[in-house]
Order: sequence, then C-alpha cells, then structure tokens
Amino acid sequence: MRYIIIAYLSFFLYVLLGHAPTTTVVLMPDEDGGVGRVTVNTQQEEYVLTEPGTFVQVTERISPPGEMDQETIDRVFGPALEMQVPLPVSFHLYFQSGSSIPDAASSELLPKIVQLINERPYPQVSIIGHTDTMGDKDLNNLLSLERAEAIRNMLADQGVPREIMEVSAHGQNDPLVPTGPDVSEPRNRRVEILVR
Amino acid sequence: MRISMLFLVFVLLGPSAQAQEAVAVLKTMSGHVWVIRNDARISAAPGMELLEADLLGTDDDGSAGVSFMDGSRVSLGPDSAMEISSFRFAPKDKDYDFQVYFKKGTAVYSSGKIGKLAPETVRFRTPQAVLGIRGTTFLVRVQ
Repeated sequence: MRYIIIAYLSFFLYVLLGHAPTTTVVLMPDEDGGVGRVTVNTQQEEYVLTEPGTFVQVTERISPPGEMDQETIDRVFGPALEMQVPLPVSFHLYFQSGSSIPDAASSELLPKIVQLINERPYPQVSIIGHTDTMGDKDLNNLLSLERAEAIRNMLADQGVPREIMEVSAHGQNDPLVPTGPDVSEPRNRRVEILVR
Repeated sequence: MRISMLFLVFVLLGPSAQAQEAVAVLKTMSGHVWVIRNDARISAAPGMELLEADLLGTDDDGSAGVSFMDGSRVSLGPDSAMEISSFRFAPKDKDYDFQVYFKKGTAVYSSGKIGKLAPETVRFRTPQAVLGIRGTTFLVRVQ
C-alpha cells in the first residue's frame, strides 16, 4: 500500500513540476503544400490530428488539442527542422513503344537532373523502369530493365557515380495509368528517377 | 595459425554481416552524433549507412538528418535517440514496413513512399504513444 502511495505521490509531483514523461506531437503541413493526418494512440484511447499547427500531449492520457505558435515551434524544434533532409524529387522519362531510348524532351531533362543530384548531400538515385501492357509480360520485364539501365548509363556519362545509382525494373506491374492488357499507353512507358 | 583463425571468423561472420542491407543514410549532421550497433557505440559521420536495429543518437550539441530508402525522412534535434525497429521497402513484392522507436528528444518526421503506398505500416512509437500517419509531416518531442 505504501508503495502505491509513494508511486502516486511521485507521479503527482512529476506532473506538478512538469517532469512527467511526455510525448508532444505537432502536425505540420507537408512541403508540397498538402496536409496529412497523425493518429495518436495509447493503449486506452486515440486522437487524430488533422489541422496543421495543432498538437496534443500524451502522459497517462491524451491532452485536449492546442495550437502551437511558430515561435514555440522554432524554439523547441529549430535544430531538428534545420537538419531535415531535402524533399526527395522524382522525374519521369518517356519512351516510344518497344524502345529503350528516351524521347527527345526526356533526354533534355538529364542535365537538370544531374545538377540536382550534385547539389544534394550524399545523394542516392533510384532508377525504376516500367512498360505499358502491350506484348509479353516477360519481355516487358526485360524491356523495363533495359530502359532503366539505359538511363543509368546516360547519367553515368554525365558524371553521376555508378555506386550511388540503383536500378530496378517493374515491367508492366506498376503502371502510372492503370489499363487493361495489351494497351499501348505512352504515360506508362517510362523510367522514374528518384533523387534522395 | 592466428591468421587462419581470423580468416575463419571472417568466413563465419562475413556473409551474415553483409546480408544486412542499408535501410537509411545519415545525410546531414552537426555536433556529436552516434550509432549503437550490436552493442557497440560508433561515432557517426555524414554519408553513413544505417541498418535495421541501429539506435541513432545525438549529444547536447548534436543534430542529424536521415533519409530512408523509400524517401521517408527523420531529423533529430539535440539529446535525442531513435531506434530503427524495422524497415522493409520492396514495391515488387508489395512488402512494406516502417517502425521506429523514438526514445527521447525532438524529431521531425516526413513521410516517403511507404506513407503513400502502405500508411498503415508506419508506426512511430514513443514511450507514451504510437503515432500513425496519412501522408504527413509532424514534429515530436519526448521529455
């Protein structure tokens, strides 16, 4: 019994002194302008943050939501915010049917992409090949790989180190625009370059 | 003899050690930043690859920014610590998992592809709560 009282008192003191172990969660707008949601779960309850700048605190229970002003955000989270890694950027390069040579407009993008890669701290580049649903599935796997490798070689020729590039091929399995089988869809004949 | 024993150790340990793939890269940092891996404390340097089960931490003067392989990003303020509990990003097999345990300090989380493709697998745990997301940037403090 005594232990319970001590535990209770020390918890009470903790709360009074502001030292109760606390998690504070603040929802922020995404860098692309959208706003997501955060669900905050404890074993007993759940709260969903939907408005940017709102927060809850969790000790034993979840507090009512409040609004955190920019000054407090900067004071508390400034160093973490400053260290945030730049937003990953993705590009799409497009191909003629059956070809693994990007079209002219796509090829012209490459110098800009190389420049962006060079500006990043410790950049990594994922190159993902895709096809539309025309023709044989296995051949499309092969074609999507050829497309991705062609882009890797072009980037390497422009000075991007091979060891920071990773190639993968999704064939016709991951269309940008879902279609039925055997559909020629220019928007699906693509290579995605994701720069992190 | 000693050399051949060492060789044997490498042969036995090498493949399993190499089999673990990098799940994130430490891209930005300042001050003192460290990683606890297999019970050993390593001083972190920019560009360092992070593995599942790594505990990334900062001292009073430290801060660090990490980018995961799916483009998810987490940055830590001073006196902070986060364990990468589990991470899987295999779009080909539609296999995704993102789970970290944020022990203390301040952090900024910004979702990546996993947050788009399988947001229900994202769990940002703290000692008091489990945070889930739907395409989100949020700030956390544990004190």
